Amino acid sequence: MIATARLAWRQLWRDRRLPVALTLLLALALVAIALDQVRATEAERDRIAADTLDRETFRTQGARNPHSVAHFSRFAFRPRLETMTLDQGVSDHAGTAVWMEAHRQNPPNARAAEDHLDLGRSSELGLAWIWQVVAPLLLVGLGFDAIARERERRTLPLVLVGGLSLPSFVAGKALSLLAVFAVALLGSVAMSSLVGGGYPVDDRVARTAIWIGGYLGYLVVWTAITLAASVRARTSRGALVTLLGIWALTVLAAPRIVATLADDQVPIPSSTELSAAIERDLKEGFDGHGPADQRTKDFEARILAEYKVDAVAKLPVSFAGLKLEEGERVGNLVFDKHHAWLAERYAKQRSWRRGSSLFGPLAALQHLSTAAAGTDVEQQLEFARQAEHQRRDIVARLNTDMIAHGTGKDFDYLADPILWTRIPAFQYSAPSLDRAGMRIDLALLAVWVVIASLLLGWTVRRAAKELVP
Amino acid sequence: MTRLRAVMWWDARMLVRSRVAWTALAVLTIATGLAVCSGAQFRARWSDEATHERRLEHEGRREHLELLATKDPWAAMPLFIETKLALPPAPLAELIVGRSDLDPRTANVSAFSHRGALFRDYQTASPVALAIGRFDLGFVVVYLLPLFVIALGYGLLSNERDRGLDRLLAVHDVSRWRLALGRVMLRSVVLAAPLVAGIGTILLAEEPTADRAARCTVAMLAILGYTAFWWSLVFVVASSRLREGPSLLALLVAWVVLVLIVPAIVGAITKTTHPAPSRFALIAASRSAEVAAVTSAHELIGGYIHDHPELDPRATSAPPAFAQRSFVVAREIDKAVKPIVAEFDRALEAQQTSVARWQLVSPALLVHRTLSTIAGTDETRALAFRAQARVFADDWRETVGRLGMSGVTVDAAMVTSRPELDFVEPTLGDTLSTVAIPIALLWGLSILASFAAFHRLRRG
Repeated sequence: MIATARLAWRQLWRDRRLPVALTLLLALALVAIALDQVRATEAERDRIAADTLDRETFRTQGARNPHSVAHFSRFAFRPRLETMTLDQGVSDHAGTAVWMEAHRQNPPNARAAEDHLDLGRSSELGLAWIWQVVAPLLLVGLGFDAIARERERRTLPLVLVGGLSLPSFVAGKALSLLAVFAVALLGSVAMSSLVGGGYPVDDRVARTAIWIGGYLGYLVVWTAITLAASVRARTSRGALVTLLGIWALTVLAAPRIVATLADDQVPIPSSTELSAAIERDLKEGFDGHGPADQRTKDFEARILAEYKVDAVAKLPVSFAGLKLEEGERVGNLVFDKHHAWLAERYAKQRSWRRGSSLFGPLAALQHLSTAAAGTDVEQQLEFARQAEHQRRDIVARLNTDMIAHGTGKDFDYLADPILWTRIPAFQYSAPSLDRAGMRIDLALLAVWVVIASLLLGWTVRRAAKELVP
Repeated sequence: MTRLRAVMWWDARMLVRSRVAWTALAVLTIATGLAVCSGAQFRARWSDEATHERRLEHEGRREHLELLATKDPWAAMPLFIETKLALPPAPLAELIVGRSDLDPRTANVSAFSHRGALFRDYQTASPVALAIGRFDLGFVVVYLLPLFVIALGYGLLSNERDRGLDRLLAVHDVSRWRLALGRVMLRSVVLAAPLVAGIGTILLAEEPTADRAARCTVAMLAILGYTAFWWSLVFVVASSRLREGPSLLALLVAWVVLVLIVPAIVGAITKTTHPAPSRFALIAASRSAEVAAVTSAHELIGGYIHDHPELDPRATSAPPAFAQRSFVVAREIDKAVKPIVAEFDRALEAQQTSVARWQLVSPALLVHRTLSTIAGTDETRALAFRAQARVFADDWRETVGRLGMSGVTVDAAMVTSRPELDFVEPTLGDTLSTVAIPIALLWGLSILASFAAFHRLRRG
């Protein structure tokens, strides 16, 4: 098997396909990593500078009413994780900044993709794109004639007459292909980790290991499919056409078709529709600024009873502050309901996409790859959740101050500027690796490895029988 | 001509019996059908969104009139009037989504709006769906169509050559160039048919106006030009005396390089060489300006009244202090962020210029950009909407601000006659002049390459 692998390497090297493929892979990886590094460094520098400036702006805003400051509030900026070089995932198409203002749970905005021209979205230079799209194509280019050419030249029986079994011969070819791509994969990952940069994550090694494992599995599937087609096809041209058809369908077309179907079957409401639904619920709820309605009256009655006084003016606390806090409480229920529903829609779309694993391993790999790199929708939602948690904390602290110190003045009360220094800054904590969430995709990928191996085994056995006179 | 017709007739009979031809036709037809349906769905959703926005605007006006009728004091204050802007669907949004699913299509405008936050909270779409992109006709044309051309054309002459039949054909006075031309023409028709049907469906699905008809025609020209480019490449490879296998490999390498690798590298380089300013920096600058303006709000209000001596809020019913403050603060933030916001537009324009040069090395990029421009889903229309919305918001803020600061009260006539953004589409003439050169280039390249191949075949 090793001897066959060595021979195959030598052949591929001699007909220049191997050096061309390797050079292309590594050159693309190098360019991708270098350009990504430039952008990553700039993005992190900008984030830190903006955060510092904003912190200073917030700290030095002088005496103001806490509720004005709750509206001004702070921004949560999403950092760029150091593992993002492995797979940019949805990071360019997801918001990076959340305005944590009172009364509203704003979605993350400031998407990097809006600041770039659209050049087709199927060609985003990055390690993930290279290994998901280009590598299988090169693998096909190197392996389509591995067996078919021997058959065409009628040298296959000669090889087998020499005592080598067809399974060993095919295994040797598989080893030669897989080893080449595995080495290149490890090389590109090593290059990316040497360059480094970005927001540190605790479990980088584990993430990288899972990422590499996923891609190795993907390469095994493509190696097996390529060799199965090469064994089965009567001509190498036939093998190439078949493999390209499979590649175009599963790598190029299927992800888009399924993503479009998912988007049509589980439509995400437009921002206007979502805002209108939230506004509708809030109107029926409680708003600190709104006209006095029955709920306000009930709330007032409850507060007066609680403090055992007969008029708002006699309250020892700011009634406006209490109303604001109650408004936040009701608002949060409304936001939780709608944002949970939105997250559920995203999850349903993901299930649709996962369904496309029936047609190939790419969907499972993409989920696994983005999850390991920390660039999937789940981790984007986690950023939004952390920002929302912080928003509630900031608003609660400011309302508490107004309740305690704004008695009789309400919105005319100006808080001591020292209060702003006590508002904690947003500290993003990169979520730990969601191993449970990855299990399904790992399992799907493993199933594909098994299916592809069985297919190769079955094809080889069948071909071996046909070769026996 | 008769011989060419004979070649075509002979090849037609071969094609009818060819499994590859039928498979290619069936798959391309299905892909085109799916893409047209997906495009129509996208357009319908955009249209619904714009209608919804208009309905909200009209409901807002109705509610405003009702509140005025009940003598609500807040409703009578101009500073609190808001309006909604919506971008109608792009003229041919169903052709190619382009970047229209990313850009803001709505805006809320009030006296307190500033350009840094005019478009906000519109980012609810699934980031994965955005990152992957939609399956539209643009995708079918740019990525899949060349593969079909290669599948039908890679063995254009090599089959006869490999079997030594070309000499036999030459004896019968069937030259190689005639054989190749006849085959290319017939196969082009086979592949063009589903696409023509697709474009026809797009044209007829909506009311076929002259504008839509012109755009569809030009889009078809671009698509046919792109197809012609790939056929010319097939022609070149066929003239190079390569055997069938190497011909296929050569065409596939060309596809990988021109369709996948060059656009990816151009995209990455453009992003790096013409970066937009930092969104974080815009946010920080806007907030810093806000705090500075809030701190000096009193002077700013005084300054505004000083600049507008005809207005003296103290003389009539003045709006609440917080509204006056918010209004002057919004004006200050607007001034502060104006240069940064302009930088974003400039960065996109710089990228546009850069890609316009780079796209010459990849017909895939050329046709993608051309189709987006024709459809109105490229950055040009998005930039036009942003610019017009900003001008409208500026006018709105200044108008209602002046009315509000002078204590004018709103009446029903003002509510019903309040202005709406009448979005001015980039003209068809401008669009056509933008795409004329790329389309001419596509056809020019195809003709040149075909001509070279033709000469080589004749010489051979």
